[in-house]
Amino acid sequence: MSRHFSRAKDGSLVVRMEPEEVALLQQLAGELTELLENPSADDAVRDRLFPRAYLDPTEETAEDEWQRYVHQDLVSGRLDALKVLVDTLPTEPGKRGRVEGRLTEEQEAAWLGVLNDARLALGTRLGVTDDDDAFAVDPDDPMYVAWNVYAWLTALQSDLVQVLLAGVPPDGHE
Amino acid sequence: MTAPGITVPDTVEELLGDTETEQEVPWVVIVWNDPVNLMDYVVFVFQKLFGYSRAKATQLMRQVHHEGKAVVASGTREKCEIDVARLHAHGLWATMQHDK
Repeated sequence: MSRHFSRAKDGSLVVRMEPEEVALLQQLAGELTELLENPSADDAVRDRLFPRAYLDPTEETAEDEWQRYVHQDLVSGRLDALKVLVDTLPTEPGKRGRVEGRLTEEQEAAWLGVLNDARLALGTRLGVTDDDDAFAVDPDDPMYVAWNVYAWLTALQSDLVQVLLAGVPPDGHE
Repeated sequence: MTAPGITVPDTVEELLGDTETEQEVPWVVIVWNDPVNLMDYVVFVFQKLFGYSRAKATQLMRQVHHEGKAVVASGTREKCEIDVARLHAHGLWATMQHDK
Protein backbone atom coordinates (compact mmCIF):
# COMPACT_ATOMS: atom_id res chain seq x y z
CA MET A 1 0.00 0.00 0.00
CA SER A 2 1.41 3.39 -0.93
CA ARG A 3 1.77 6.13 1.65
CA HIS A 4 -1.39 7.92 2.70
CA PHE A 5 0.12 10.71 4.78
CA SER A 6 3.07 13.03 4.27
CA ARG A 7 4.28 16.30 5.76
CA ALA A 8 4.16 19.32 3.43
CA LYS A 9 6.80 22.05 3.54
CA ASP A 10 4.30 24.47 5.12
CA GLY A 11 3.84 22.02 8.03
CA SER A 12 0.38 20.81 7.07
CA LEU A 13 -0.32 17.12 6.70
CA VAL A 14 -1.18 15.90 3.22
CA VAL A 15 -3.67 13.02 2.93
CA ARG A 16 -3.87 11.01 -0.27
CA MET A 17 -6.41 8.23 -0.71
CA GLU A 18 -8.41 6.20 -3.16
CA PRO A 19 -12.02 7.44 -3.38
CA GLU A 20 -13.12 4.00 -2.11
CA GLU A 21 -10.98 4.48 0.98
CA VAL A 22 -12.60 7.85 1.66
CA ALA A 23 -16.03 6.22 1.36
CA LEU A 24 -15.01 3.47 3.77
CA LEU A 25 -13.69 5.98 6.31
CA GLN A 26 -16.93 7.92 6.05
CA GLN A 27 -18.94 4.75 6.64
CA LEU A 28 -16.82 3.73 9.64
CA ALA A 29 -17.09 7.23 11.11
CA GLY A 30 -20.87 7.02 10.79
CA GLU A 31 -20.97 3.65 12.56
CA LEU A 32 -18.70 4.87 15.35
CA THR A 33 -20.81 8.01 15.81
CA GLU A 34 -23.95 5.88 16.03
CA LEU A 35 -22.28 3.63 18.61
CA LEU A 36 -21.23 6.60 20.76
CA GLU A 37 -24.59 8.35 20.54
CA ASN A 38 -26.64 5.22 21.24
CA PRO A 39 -24.56 3.04 23.54
CA SER A 40 -26.01 -0.32 24.44
CA ALA A 41 -25.95 -0.99 28.16
CA ASP A 42 -23.70 -4.03 28.06
CA ASP A 43 -21.26 -3.59 25.24
CA ALA A 44 -17.66 -4.83 25.17
CA VAL A 45 -16.73 -2.00 22.79
CA ARG A 46 -18.08 0.57 25.21
CA ASP A 47 -16.08 -1.03 28.04
CA ARG A 48 -12.93 -0.86 25.92
CA LEU A 49 -13.40 2.77 24.85
CA PHE A 50 -14.41 3.85 28.36
CA PRO A 51 -12.61 1.68 30.91
CA ARG A 52 -12.77 2.10 34.69
CA ALA A 53 -10.18 4.33 36.37
CA TYR A 54 -10.16 2.27 39.60
CA LEU A 55 -9.88 -1.51 39.63
CA ASP A 56 -10.18 -1.65 43.44
CA PRO A 57 -13.85 -2.42 44.25
CA THR A 58 -13.57 -0.46 47.53
CA GLU A 59 -13.04 2.68 45.43
CA GLU A 60 -16.53 2.46 43.93
CA THR A 61 -17.50 5.93 45.20
CA ALA A 62 -14.38 7.49 43.70
CA GLU A 63 -15.02 5.59 40.46
CA ASP A 64 -18.60 6.90 40.27
CA GLU A 65 -17.46 10.47 40.94
CA TRP A 66 -14.68 10.19 38.38
CA GLN A 67 -17.11 8.84 35.76
CA ARG A 68 -19.47 11.72 36.52
CA TYR A 69 -16.65 14.23 35.97
CA VAL A 70 -15.11 12.84 32.81
CA HIS A 71 -17.40 10.43 30.97
CA GLN A 72 -19.44 12.97 29.03
CA ASP A 73 -16.26 14.88 28.10
CA LEU A 74 -14.68 11.66 26.82
CA VAL A 75 -17.78 10.92 24.71
CA SER A 76 -17.92 14.52 23.39
CA GLY A 77 -14.20 14.51 22.58
CA ARG A 78 -14.61 11.38 20.47
CA LEU A 79 -17.72 12.71 18.71
CA ASP A 80 -15.97 16.03 17.98
CA ALA A 81 -13.00 14.17 16.47
CA LEU A 82 -15.39 12.16 14.27
CA LYS A 83 -16.99 15.39 13.01
CA VAL A 84 -13.56 16.85 12.23
CA LEU A 85 -12.57 13.73 10.26
CA VAL A 86 -15.79 13.66 8.24
CA ASP A 87 -15.46 17.40 7.52
CA THR A 88 -11.83 17.06 6.37
CA LEU A 89 -12.04 13.90 4.25
CA PRO A 90 -9.96 14.52 1.09
CA THR A 91 -11.89 15.79 -1.93
CA GLU A 92 -9.33 17.42 -4.26
CA PRO A 93 -8.48 15.34 -7.36
CA GLY A 94 -4.87 14.09 -7.17
CA LYS A 95 -2.59 11.82 -9.15
CA ARG A 96 -3.62 8.35 -10.38
CA GLY A 97 -7.28 8.73 -9.49
CA ARG A 98 -6.60 9.49 -5.84
CA VAL A 99 -8.06 12.37 -3.87
CA GLU A 100 -6.08 14.73 -1.66
CA GLY A 101 -6.63 16.92 1.36
CA ARG A 102 -4.64 18.89 3.92
CA LEU A 103 -4.92 18.79 7.69
CA THR A 104 -3.95 21.25 10.41
CA GLU A 105 -2.28 20.02 13.59
CA GLU A 106 -5.64 19.90 15.40
CA GLN A 107 -7.25 18.01 12.53
CA GLU A 108 -4.45 15.45 12.32
CA ALA A 109 -4.88 14.74 16.04
CA ALA A 110 -8.60 14.14 15.41
CA TRP A 111 -7.78 11.74 12.55
CA LEU A 112 -5.32 9.84 14.72
CA GLY A 113 -7.93 9.53 17.49
CA VAL A 114 -10.66 8.31 15.15
CA LEU A 115 -8.39 5.75 13.48
CA ASN A 116 -7.41 4.43 16.90
CA ASP A 117 -11.01 4.36 18.17
CA ALA A 118 -12.15 2.57 15.00
CA ARG A 119 -9.43 -0.08 15.49
CA LEU A 120 -10.32 -0.46 19.17
CA ALA A 121 -14.00 -0.92 18.32
CA LEU A 122 -13.41 -3.32 15.41
CA GLY A 123 -10.58 -5.14 17.21
CA THR A 124 -12.84 -5.72 20.22
CA ARG A 125 -15.65 -7.04 18.00
CA LEU A 126 -13.22 -9.36 16.21
CA GLY A 127 -11.65 -10.51 19.49
CA VAL A 128 -8.15 -9.59 18.30
CA THR A 129 -5.32 -11.11 20.35
CA ASP A 130 -1.58 -10.35 20.46
CA ASP A 131 -0.90 -13.31 18.17
CA ASP A 132 -3.42 -12.51 15.44
CA ASP A 133 -2.22 -11.73 11.97
CA ALA A 134 -5.07 -9.98 10.21
CA PHE A 135 -3.41 -10.60 6.84
CA ALA A 136 -3.55 -14.38 7.32
CA VAL A 137 -7.33 -14.76 7.77
CA ASP A 138 -9.02 -17.45 5.69
CA PRO A 139 -11.14 -15.97 2.85
CA ASP A 140 -13.93 -18.36 3.92
CA ASP A 141 -14.00 -16.81 7.40
CA PRO A 142 -17.38 -15.03 7.81
CA MET A 143 -15.46 -12.07 9.27
CA TYR A 144 -12.98 -11.95 6.38
CA VAL A 145 -14.09 -8.51 5.21
CA ALA A 146 -14.00 -7.09 8.76
CA TRP A 147 -10.48 -8.48 9.23
CA ASN A 148 -9.41 -6.80 6.01
CA VAL A 149 -10.90 -3.50 7.14
CA TYR A 150 -9.03 -3.88 10.43
CA ALA A 151 -5.76 -4.57 8.60
CA TRP A 152 -6.32 -1.56 6.36
CA LEU A 153 -7.04 0.69 9.38
CA THR A 154 -3.88 -0.63 11.03
CA ALA A 155 -1.75 0.23 7.99
CA LEU A 156 -3.40 3.65 7.74
CA GLN A 157 -2.86 4.49 11.42
CA SER A 158 0.68 3.12 11.35
CA ASP A 159 1.49 5.38 8.40
CA LEU A 160 0.05 8.41 10.22
CA VAL A 161 1.90 7.62 13.47
CA GLN A 162 5.24 7.42 11.60
CA VAL A 163 4.70 10.90 10.16
CA LEU A 164 3.62 12.34 13.52
CA LEU A 165 6.45 10.69 15.48
CA ALA A 166 8.97 12.20 13.06
CA GLY A 167 7.78 15.63 14.27
CA VAL A 168 8.17 14.90 18.00
CA PRO A 169 11.57 15.91 19.47
CA PRO A 170 13.31 12.81 20.92
CA ASP A 171 14.46 14.64 24.05
CA GLY A 172 11.12 15.23 25.73
CA HIS A 173 10.32 18.05 28.16
CA GLU A 174 9.66 16.49 31.55
CA MET B 1 -11.69 17.27 26.84
CA THR B 2 -11.80 19.27 30.02
CA ALA B 3 -10.14 18.17 33.23
CA PRO B 4 -12.04 17.45 36.44
CA GLY B 5 -12.42 20.62 38.49
CA ILE B 6 -10.94 21.18 41.90
CA THR B 7 -13.20 19.83 44.63
CA VAL B 8 -13.70 22.15 47.57
CA PRO B 9 -13.78 20.16 50.84
CA ASP B 10 -16.87 20.51 53.01
CA THR B 11 -14.97 20.59 56.28
CA VAL B 12 -11.52 21.42 57.61
CA GLU B 13 -11.21 17.84 58.90
CA GLU B 14 -11.84 16.49 55.43
CA LEU B 15 -9.23 18.82 54.01
CA LEU B 16 -6.56 17.93 56.59
CA GLY B 17 -7.36 14.24 56.65
CA ASP B 18 -7.28 13.84 52.89
CA THR B 19 -4.13 15.86 52.48
CA GLU B 20 -2.14 13.82 54.98
CA THR B 21 -3.26 10.48 53.59
CA GLU B 22 -2.56 11.48 50.00
CA GLN B 23 0.95 12.68 50.87
CA GLU B 24 1.83 9.47 52.72
CA VAL B 25 0.60 7.11 50.02
CA PRO B 26 1.03 8.42 46.48
CA TRP B 27 -1.07 7.17 43.62
CA VAL B 28 0.26 5.58 40.47
CA VAL B 29 -1.15 5.42 36.95
CA ILE B 30 -0.82 2.02 35.27
CA VAL B 31 -1.13 1.31 31.56
CA TRP B 32 -2.08 -2.28 30.67
CA ASN B 33 -1.15 -4.27 27.59
CA ASP B 34 -3.81 -4.65 24.93
CA PRO B 35 -3.65 -6.37 21.55
CA VAL B 36 -4.93 -3.45 19.46
CA ASN B 37 -2.89 -0.33 20.25
CA LEU B 38 0.17 -0.02 18.00
CA MET B 39 3.56 0.12 19.73
CA ASP B 40 4.58 3.34 17.97
CA TYR B 41 1.21 4.90 18.78
CA VAL B 42 1.72 4.16 22.48
CA VAL B 43 5.19 5.77 22.34
CA PHE B 44 3.67 8.82 20.63
CA VAL B 45 0.95 9.15 23.30
CA PHE B 46 3.45 8.83 26.19
CA GLN B 47 5.62 11.57 24.64
CA LYS B 48 2.65 13.82 23.89
CA LEU B 49 0.90 13.50 27.26
CA PHE B 50 3.85 13.34 29.64
CA GLY B 51 6.66 15.01 27.70
CA TYR B 52 8.83 11.92 28.07
CA SER B 53 11.89 11.43 25.86
CA ARG B 54 11.63 8.95 22.99
CA ALA B 55 13.90 6.61 24.97
CA LYS B 56 11.78 6.71 28.14
CA ALA B 57 8.49 6.45 26.24
CA THR B 58 9.83 3.47 24.29
CA GLN B 59 11.10 1.76 27.46
CA LEU B 60 7.66 2.17 29.10
CA MET B 61 5.88 0.88 25.98
CA ARG B 62 8.17 -2.20 25.95
CA GLN B 63 7.47 -2.80 29.65
CA VAL B 64 3.71 -2.66 28.98
CA HIS B 65 4.08 -5.03 26.05
CA HIS B 66 6.37 -7.60 27.71
CA GLU B 67 5.29 -7.47 31.36
CA GLY B 68 1.62 -6.71 30.75
CA LYS B 69 1.64 -3.33 32.50
CA ALA B 70 3.80 -0.38 33.55
CA VAL B 71 3.56 2.57 35.90
CA VAL B 72 3.64 5.60 33.62
CA ALA B 73 2.92 8.44 36.07
CA SER B 74 2.38 9.11 39.76
CA GLY B 75 1.23 11.83 42.15
CA THR B 76 -1.86 12.95 44.01
CA ARG B 77 -5.22 11.31 43.47
CA GLU B 78 -6.42 14.37 41.55
CA LYS B 79 -3.41 14.41 39.21
CA CYS B 80 -3.72 10.70 38.53
CA GLU B 81 -7.45 10.98 37.82
CA ILE B 82 -6.65 13.59 35.17
CA ASP B 83 -3.81 11.46 33.71
CA VAL B 84 -6.10 8.41 33.49
CA ALA B 85 -8.79 10.45 31.71
CA ARG B 86 -6.23 11.79 29.20
CA LEU B 87 -4.95 8.26 28.54
CA HIS B 88 -8.52 6.99 28.06
CA ALA B 89 -9.18 9.85 25.65
CA HIS B 90 -6.29 8.47 23.58
CA GLY B 91 -7.62 4.91 23.75
CA LEU B 92 -5.03 3.51 26.16
CA TRP B 93 -6.20 1.11 28.86
CA ALA B 94 -5.15 2.88 32.07
CA THR B 95 -6.12 2.52 35.73
CA MET B 96 -4.90 4.07 38.99
CA GLN B 97 -4.20 2.70 42.45
CA HIS B 98 -2.33 3.41 45.66
CA ASP B 99 1.41 2.83 45.38
CA LYS B 100 1.64 0.12 48.02
